[in-house]
Amino acid sequence: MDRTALALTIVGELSRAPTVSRAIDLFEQAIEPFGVKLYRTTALGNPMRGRLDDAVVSNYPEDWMSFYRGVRAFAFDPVLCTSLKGEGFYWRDLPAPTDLAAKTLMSDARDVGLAEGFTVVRQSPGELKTAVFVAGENLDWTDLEQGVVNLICNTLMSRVLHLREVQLSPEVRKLSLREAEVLNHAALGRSDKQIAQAIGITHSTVHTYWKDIRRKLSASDRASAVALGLWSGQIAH
Amino acid sequence: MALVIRPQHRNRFHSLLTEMHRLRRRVFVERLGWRIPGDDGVHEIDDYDSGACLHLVSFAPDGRIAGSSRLTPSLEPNVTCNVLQAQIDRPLPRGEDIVEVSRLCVDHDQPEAVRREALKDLRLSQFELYRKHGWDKVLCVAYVRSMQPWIRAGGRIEVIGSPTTFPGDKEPSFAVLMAGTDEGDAVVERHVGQVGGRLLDPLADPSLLDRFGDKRAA
Repeated sequence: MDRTALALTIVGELSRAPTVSRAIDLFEQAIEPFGVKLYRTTALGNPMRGRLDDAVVSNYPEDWMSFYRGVRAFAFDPVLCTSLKGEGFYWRDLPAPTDLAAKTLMSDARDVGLAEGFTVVRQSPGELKTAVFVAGENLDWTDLEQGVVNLICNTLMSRVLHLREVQLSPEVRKLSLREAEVLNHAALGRSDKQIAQAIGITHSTVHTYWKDIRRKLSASDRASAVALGLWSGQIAH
Repeated sequence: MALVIRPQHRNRFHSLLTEMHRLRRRVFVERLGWRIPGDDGVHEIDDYDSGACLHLVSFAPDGRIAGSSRLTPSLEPNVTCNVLQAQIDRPLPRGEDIVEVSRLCVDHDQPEAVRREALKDLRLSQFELYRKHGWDKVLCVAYVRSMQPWIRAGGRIEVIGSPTTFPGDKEPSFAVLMAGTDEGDAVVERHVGQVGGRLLDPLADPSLLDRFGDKRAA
């Protein structure tokens, strides 16, 4: 299977990853064949006001990030500053910095494996602009591969932002036997139609059970209901 | 509100459909630069507008069409499975629980608030139709940016085959399968609004034929 086909298979799983750590794991599996070694996602705002802790997911070297924060590099980092314009780009396409601090930063970045990279910028209406930075060697992609990398990065960011909002609530009420049965089937990846057939009830009855399940578990969607069902011990692992 | 125009009612909504095809041309040919065979210079209309498809149209406060989409049972001929399939290197799934959605658009001549409401009407009405017809999954071809709000809202996608850049496009498109009634309900209800009450269906209310349809000759 070539890297594009592999990545597209993984993207489906990434779009419904139950946890952030699983999302990262899948992201790494999808992106590594494209030569990516380091990555970092971040919320983009005014770099002078933004908090670097806004990074959601990152495997950049800690030493580098400490240095970066220490010198307040976000104020002059050409990669970050260009990201604010809102378009994806290869770092090699950036004009050579004329500012001494930026020149030094780019040179230092090279030493920690951040020489060559690509930035994906994501913005949906009404949402904070976010970016995913990926770095590695020989990032020579075809246009379509670049599209796939864009999809992988966007999917990671979208899923992680969603998962951050899924709160595990301690106020979980006990499910009825039938509700737990429906949830158990869902945890095994079955669709509502398959659940209805397995239990011998109608599709609309399954739908009613889902409303009760979500209400009792304070779950916002199917994935979080399954997570809460597992967490509260009401369905089997 | 969005009006569904079923095949058996097309002859009653000729004027609305003509306006919809003009809108589609403005969006897909003039704005997005698509090079598609169904462009006659005024309308964008293809072979799949005359088959088993259902057209959905939403309205601006001034009564003009503000947006539209096309839903076709995937077992029937449809543009994704019958035309785009040739450029996608994996077979696209078809089944009675899968609906194909294409040509979703809003009128960019309308103010942003109207466009947003039109999109909301279309999405919620689509989900009403998914429920009515038992469509658990939705097959479509989309840009990366079009899929992300769905994933962000907690919806899952399955990407089918390699990406394709269609003639006139600047970025690749992906064939994707998304959840319909299966789990899409929860996603759409949380992020778009309550499903139900927005769909105008002449099958349920025949007076809509007179209200929105062409005036009959005396």
